[in-house]
Amino acid sequence: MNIAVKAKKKKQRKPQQMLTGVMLLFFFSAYMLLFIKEPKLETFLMAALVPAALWAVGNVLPRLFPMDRLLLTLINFLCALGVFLQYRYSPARGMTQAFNYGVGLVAMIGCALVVRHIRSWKYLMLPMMAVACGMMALPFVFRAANAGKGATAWVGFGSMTMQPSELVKIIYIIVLSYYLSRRRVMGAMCFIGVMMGFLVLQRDLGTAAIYGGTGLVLLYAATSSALLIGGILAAGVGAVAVLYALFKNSFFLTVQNRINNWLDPFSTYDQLGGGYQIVQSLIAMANGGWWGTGIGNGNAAVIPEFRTDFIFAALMNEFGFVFAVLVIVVYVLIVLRAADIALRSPSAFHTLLALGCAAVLAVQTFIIVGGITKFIPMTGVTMPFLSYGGTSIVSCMGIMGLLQGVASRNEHLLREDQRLADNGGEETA
Amino acid sequence: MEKNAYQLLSMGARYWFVLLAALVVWRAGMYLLREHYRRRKILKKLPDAGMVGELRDMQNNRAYPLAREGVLGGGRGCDIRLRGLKRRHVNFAFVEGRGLLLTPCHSRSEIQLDGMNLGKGGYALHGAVLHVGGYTLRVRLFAGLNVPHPAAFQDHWQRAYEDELYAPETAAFTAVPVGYAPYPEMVYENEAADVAQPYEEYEEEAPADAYRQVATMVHATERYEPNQRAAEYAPQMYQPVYNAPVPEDEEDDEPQAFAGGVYGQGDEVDNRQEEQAYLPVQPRYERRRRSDRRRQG
Repeated sequence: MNIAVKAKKKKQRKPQQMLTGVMLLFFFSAYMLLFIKEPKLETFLMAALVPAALWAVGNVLPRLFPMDRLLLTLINFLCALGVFLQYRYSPARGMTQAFNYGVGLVAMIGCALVVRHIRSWKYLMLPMMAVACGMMALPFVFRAANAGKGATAWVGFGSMTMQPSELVKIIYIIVLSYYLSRRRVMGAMCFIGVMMGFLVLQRDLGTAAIYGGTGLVLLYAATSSALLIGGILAAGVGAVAVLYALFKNSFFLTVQNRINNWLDPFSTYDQLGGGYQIVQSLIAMANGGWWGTGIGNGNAAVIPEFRTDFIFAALMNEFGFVFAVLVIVVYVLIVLRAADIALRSPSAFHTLLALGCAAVLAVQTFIIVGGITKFIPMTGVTMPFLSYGGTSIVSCMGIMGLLQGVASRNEHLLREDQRLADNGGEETA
Repeated sequence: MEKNAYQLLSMGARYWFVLLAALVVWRAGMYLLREHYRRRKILKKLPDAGMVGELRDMQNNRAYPLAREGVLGGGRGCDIRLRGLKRRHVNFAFVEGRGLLLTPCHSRSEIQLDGMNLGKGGYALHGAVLHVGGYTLRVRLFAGLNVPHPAAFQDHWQRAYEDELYAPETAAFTAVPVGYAPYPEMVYENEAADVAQPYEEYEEEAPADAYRQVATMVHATERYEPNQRAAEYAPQMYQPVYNAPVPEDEEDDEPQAFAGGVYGQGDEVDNRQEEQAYLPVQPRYERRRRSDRRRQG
């Protein structure tokens, strides 16, 4: 084989393959480093299995189901990073997280196929809304013990706990997209109001902020009315102020504590429900510095909830600020890709659906990263794909499944346009 | 490994992980851009991508590209904007296998599809005529789309021209009820199939059940069930065309305008435009590259 042919062959390598290759190298090195620290067969197997699983998901899955490869690869990277972070502190939890990721993949495929193949959503709307309301009411009936500090958003069935508001996000995006694409703004606003009401009653203000933010983004995208958005924001602020004044010492005590902790975490450092978490998170991040302490050298385990809400602080502690910024850039790339998919979609419903997915991801990431870095008050939401928890990862993967469905539909329509042009298109000079 | 040695190794590996993460971001960014440009290149070659045809104003022959989904109205946010209409007048959406679904945005909007009130909505096929406000628009769909096409009636139109009985706006498309696309495309694929011509058997007046027979014959194949609904509606649809009362004093006069078309004595009517309107539209396709054009000079 001569050099020219070799060069040509090299050029033909797909960019996605290069991306996957770098990812495989990353996780292989990371697990091997852990293996060097503590030589365990389990860790060695993880060093082989995680890259193999990533390769299989990135290359085999898109051949079986129509999917956006870039999106899938980036999601894989974040999920595998989440599994690694859990594994580094507790191998058992790492395994559980890997299992959750597998369930999430199934949810993603399911959601993608639903979006790809359902043509009429009209008759699904009322049942979906009923299911959403029913699920949001579940925590009032089957409240989980010792789950979700300050919020009653968790449901317990025996030893298993779940957060219904995470799963309802998927239905929420679909319903809002449908109503807004049909220009039924009042219907959409009523649904937003009902969902927000449930979340406020559960005192789960972090999730309420995600729902509210996503609703506002979709409302603005559908109506282009700044007046409407301004009015809703003003009404929302007014309602919160009134509720706060009325239930300051009972209902909104948690909120008040969190605002106090945000304003001055060091003053409430030693109090119950005080600023201990935030202070420890700030110390861990500062300890990490620009480049981190190195894998296995960190001390992020001192932060309470470091596996779920404060996983980003643990990441910054061991991998450093530069790496954390790169991880945020990965989130930004996912959101950009989602926006690209939304803009390419020829139908209003699918455009809003993709935009809703992007908005949920962006708002959730902003809220948790902002909370950890003391940019905004800390609220108990999970970091998408990274945090430990089955509900969170299944919900995030489901949302990405919606996005994958829209992307594959766009590809199908583009191929259809090419077919029309190839079969009988008028040639233009 | 010793703790200090591991610490040293781990601290050295930090840069390796940052480098790999930066590579991931770099490759992903490049991939994103490459995909964006690839799509832009494809779309440049396909100026009609995302479109399913056009709406042609029959009064001034102006064409409006028809997207897969959108709104027709007078508002600025409408996909097809026509002055004088309500802000949002009709929603349209292309449905595979059915046609262009038209649904009025307001219950009071007076919209006619092929001469019939649109009601809550209906499917327009290629060649259908839409009366919206003061506009008369013809729906022209791209060839190759998966829609039922009224091919069995094409010959019928030609004969109708010859018989000078042709009322383009209310002819073949109204043989089926509005909002209903009953004919599977495959029925007409066999050109040799014996499709009955509705005008062969009578010359002056159509019997009430003439189209019942026609509809039954069209679907009298083993593969497809006879379309009862179409058969039921067909005679009623055609009745106004045949039984349109002709005023006594104008019996031998010039052709009369009727719902946007012409019927009666049609010797002087130029049918070329009408015939052309029924031909399927072809999506444009940029086959030549810029470099090719340069080479050609």
